[in-house]
Amino acid sequence: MLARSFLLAGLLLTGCGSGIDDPGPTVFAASSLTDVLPALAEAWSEQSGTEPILVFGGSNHLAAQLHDGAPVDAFLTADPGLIPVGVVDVHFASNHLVLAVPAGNPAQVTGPDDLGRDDLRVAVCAAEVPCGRATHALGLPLSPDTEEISVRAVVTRLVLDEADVGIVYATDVLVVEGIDEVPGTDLTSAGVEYRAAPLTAAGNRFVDFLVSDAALGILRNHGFSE
Amino acid sequence: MSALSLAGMTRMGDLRLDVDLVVEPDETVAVLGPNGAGKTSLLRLLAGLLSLDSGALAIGGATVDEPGTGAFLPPHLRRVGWVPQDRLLFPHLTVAGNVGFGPGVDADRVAGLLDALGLTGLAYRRPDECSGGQAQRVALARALATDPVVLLLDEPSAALDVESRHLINGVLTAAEAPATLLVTHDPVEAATLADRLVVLENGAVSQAGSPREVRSRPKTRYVASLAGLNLLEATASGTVAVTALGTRVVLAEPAEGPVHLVVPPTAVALHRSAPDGSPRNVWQAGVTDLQPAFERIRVVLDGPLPVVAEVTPAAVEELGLRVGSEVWAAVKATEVACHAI
Amino acid sequence: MRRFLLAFAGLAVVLLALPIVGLLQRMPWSSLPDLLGDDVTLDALRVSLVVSLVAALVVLVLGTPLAWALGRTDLPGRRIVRALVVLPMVLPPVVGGAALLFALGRRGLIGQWLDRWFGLTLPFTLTGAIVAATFVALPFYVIAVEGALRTARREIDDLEGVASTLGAPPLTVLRRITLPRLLPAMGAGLALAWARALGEFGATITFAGNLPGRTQTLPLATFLALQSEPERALALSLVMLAVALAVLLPLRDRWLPGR
Repeated sequence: MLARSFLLAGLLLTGCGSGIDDPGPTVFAASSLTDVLPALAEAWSEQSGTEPILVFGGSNHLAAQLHDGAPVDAFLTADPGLIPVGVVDVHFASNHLVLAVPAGNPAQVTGPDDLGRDDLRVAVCAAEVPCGRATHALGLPLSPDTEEISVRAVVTRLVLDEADVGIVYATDVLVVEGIDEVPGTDLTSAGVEYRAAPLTAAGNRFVDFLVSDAALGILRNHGFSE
Repeated sequence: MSALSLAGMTRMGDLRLDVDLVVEPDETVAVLGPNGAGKTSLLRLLAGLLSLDSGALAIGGATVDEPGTGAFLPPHLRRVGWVPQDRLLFPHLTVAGNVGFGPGVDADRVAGLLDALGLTGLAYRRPDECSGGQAQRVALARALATDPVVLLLDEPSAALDVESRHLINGVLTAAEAPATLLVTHDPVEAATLADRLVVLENGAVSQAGSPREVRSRPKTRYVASLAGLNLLEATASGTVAVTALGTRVVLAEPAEGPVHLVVPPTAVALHRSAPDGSPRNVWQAGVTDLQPAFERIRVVLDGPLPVVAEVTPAAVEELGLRVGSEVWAAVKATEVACHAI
Repeated sequence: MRRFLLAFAGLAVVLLALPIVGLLQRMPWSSLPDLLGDDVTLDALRVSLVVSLVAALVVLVLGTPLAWALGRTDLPGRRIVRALVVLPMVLPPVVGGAALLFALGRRGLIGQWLDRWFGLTLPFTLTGAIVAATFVALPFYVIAVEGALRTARREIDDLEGVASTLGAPPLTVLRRITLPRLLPAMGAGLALAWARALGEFGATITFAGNLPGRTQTLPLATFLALQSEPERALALSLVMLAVALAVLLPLRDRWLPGR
């Protein structure tokens, strides 16, 4: 009884569902996949009968834990440099950046040029994280007021109306209600490619699923592209 | 104009302090009382750390506390010098710093007082480096430095070395010493330092007068015990007085009504068996305690007349006295002083 | 018995020293001069020093009267206020930062009026970082000083009483008797508060954000450097260690109780 409680607690902590009969692959994933991965996991468990254990976090931290020997079956990240050497990874989704504002566009932002305005509060990702690298790759004039350590933090700033404009992922505007995309802006020149790195046989099976049509459909629904 | 004039009452918790007291500019008054009588509270009242509930207090002729008119002068404006029982020297200041603390105290005055109290060599020491006697002297110097109208001393001689006691006495008895009120539980200290005694028991004055008067005519058990005397309450009619326990005491002279019977311990003679002879008051008693006192032994007795007898150690040995022994006691009627209450 | 206690004490020392040893052992000593001299490091150091020192000052000014009110008066509601004081210590710093955001952010409870009436916004500013640091550091100071006031209450009362009979008016008594008596506790409390303000991360990043040169403190810079440039992270850690030791070591014997 005690052992089952611990296992349940452990699963709950890792953000998984309630089924504990057959634990599926342990998947480490970048936090920007927080909304889509549970849907993918559900589809997978219907198909395979096992429940994946999902662990979200900053890619760098997950990579460090991997390196220290955490029992992981698959690693999903937008930063290819973090994938262990010798592992064959595969691209399974893409995300591009969009210009976002709090719902209703209270500061009446019109386009990317507004990112350079000093009278507006601009939130972007820090250059050390993947979304930040992509943002800087856009080459836009930026006058940021804060460089957040994760894209979710940027989203939160916009939702709370603490920032007037920011750069987030296309998937974020789709999923989060409190932010809108600024229409007519194309930031697709820089984006993020998600790669799936299988580390075990179980992981392999999961990664195969990720590149299947069924998975692609779910990904599209959440705003990801191929 | 008196230095201090108090006629008032204040209540603190369980204690009700109700005192009439006057101190003239050139006198030293000792307030004597057992622990819990309210002595320290009295001093705090005079200093302004407590206030009256009714009555009035004047210092140097000026009213400082009068609830009736709402007058109250806070401590820092009263010209009193308080030397507390614990001395309460400021730990972060040197001896000289302590003595010179009061506003307006100049270096000359500090030097003069340090000299008078033999503290010059200690001027730069910290309080925790001073002995008890030295600390007491510092506290006194500090209080005197502000040139108070009345000096308030709390148990000044407690735990003092001979040199300190000598120096302090010298300063207190000097001509320029201010009016002084000291509180103590030690009758010897009171008698030595004071011109006048006031006895405080349970917050009220039970007796006042010169040390000699108070000692020779004690009005309460406490005062009597201070003087080392036995005191019993009784009701006299003619030459017989009946005590609270119902014992009949024969008096030398007739008296009427409520009286205090005072018997010196040396007048209580102890015998192994019932004596005959002239003593009119004879009874059997049990020994409850034996207390050495200088070169005598005080034998505490219970029985119909609970008194203390004072005998030589040889007598104790001869009579084989031990706690619990039975002994016969006798007191002559002429040795029983009887004072109407 | 003594050996038993010493063994456990030794274990505690190991626990404390091990991370430092690990840090020093991995230090890229040869690249240090470059890493320490560049803008990122210097900016972060400047921001950290300004934030922590100003926060300490605010803590002193606000915390001393609060400690006095809690430790020396009989005002009602003291127990509630005491619980409030402990709150920032038990709240996870990020939660504290989020709470500050909801209260003082641009759309916050009070913050929206600050913005509307004075054009004053706290998030993304150095002032905001100072507010976050003050919030988490205040309890350390108040608890230290209130504790000293409570344990020494009788003694302070007595000393103040004597001082006033000697003719010192209330303000002089406060200045010459009460405050000096409290100085050791105030110093110890302030040192702790400053150290806490220096190391503050969660509340700062949640409330004030992160901008190099304006709100990026040493802890923030270190965290980000861990993501991409571990060597820089080590160098920044060394800077923080050095700053902390430089301030706290000289104070250890003088200000902490025992004097």
